[in-house]
Amino acid sequence: MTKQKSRIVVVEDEQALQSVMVEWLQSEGHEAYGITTGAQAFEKIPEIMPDLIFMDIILPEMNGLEVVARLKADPKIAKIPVIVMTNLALEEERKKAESLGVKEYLIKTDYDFASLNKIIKKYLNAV
Amino acid sequence: MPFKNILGKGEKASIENITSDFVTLASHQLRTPLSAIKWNTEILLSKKLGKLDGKQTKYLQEIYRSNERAINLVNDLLDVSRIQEGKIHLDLRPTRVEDVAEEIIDSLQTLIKASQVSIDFEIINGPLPKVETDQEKLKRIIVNLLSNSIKYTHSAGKIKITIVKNKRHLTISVKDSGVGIPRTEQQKVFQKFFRSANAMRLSPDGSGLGLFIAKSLIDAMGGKMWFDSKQDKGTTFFFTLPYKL
Repeated sequence: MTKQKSRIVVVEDEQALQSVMVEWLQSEGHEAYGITTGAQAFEKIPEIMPDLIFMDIILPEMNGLEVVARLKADPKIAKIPVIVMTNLALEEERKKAESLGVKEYLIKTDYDFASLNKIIKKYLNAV
Repeated sequence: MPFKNILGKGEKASIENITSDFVTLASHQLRTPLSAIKWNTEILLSKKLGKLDGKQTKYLQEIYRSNERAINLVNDLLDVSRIQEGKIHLDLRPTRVEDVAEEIIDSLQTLIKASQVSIDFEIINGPLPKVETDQEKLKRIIVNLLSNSIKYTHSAGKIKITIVKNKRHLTISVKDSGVGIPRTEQQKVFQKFFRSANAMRLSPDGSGLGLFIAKSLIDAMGGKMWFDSKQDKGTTFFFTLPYKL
């Protein structure tokens, strides 16, 4: 029986970051999808039903935390682990993320892909 | 719905609606291209996109390293700004300081092996009680002191970390057999951007903000920080942590 690939969604509006993240995840054997806006997230995530979501906070038309809040209103999607990846070091946003049930609040510049691999493994295995 | 209370008014994400704090905005703007350079360089160095010869690897590593310097500087500047505005937020949790120290020694193994120094760890008057403190900030302080010791100590040198249990506080010390700080420079050690001549020689990439930040954090965490040093003999940095703030 072939092992099913994990599906990971990356919600990130900076193309320089989105495309390299998707490239990396695919090279690690995951099915990776890049999403650029909140509206796209609402449309695509229920279709994809990923195993893990990376969410940026500053998106073109809305705050990524609001995207998380709305996605979690659907009980099936609420179960998907969400990892916030942002360059915004703000205590208030971190607390909001925590209260929304986000699993991690990570500052992008603190993490290389090697460390992200460990975090991904942790949350994919936990499900 | 609960999230309406959490997120407040307005759905527009432009960052100015989240914060008007200049330093937070500036560091966010700076970090965006820095994270792009970090990841795009890392994927090239990984060779997942094709082979690299020795020279290509060398120059890509140089890009990666310089970028890390810029990232560290942005982090330090953000910290200094928060310190200067008195905006240090402490996330207090019961902490086993000895576990934090061991974790850090583990995480610095690559640097330790490359420098060929030996690290000793001792607890005095143990077992140690848990301390109510901010774990992330404590980690940063110990990482700063330990990586300084490693940088400024020659290979085959010795570094010792000691934790002493006192009545109402722990005293943590990081002792090295390194180059030491000349007496003439000792009063300036905790100043912003100060780098001693030895430091400039052995670690040209440092920002000179590490000790200013470490001392400011310890002050905010209810402790004290001081040091003992002798040129060419070594340096010991001490700091205290009260069990309860």
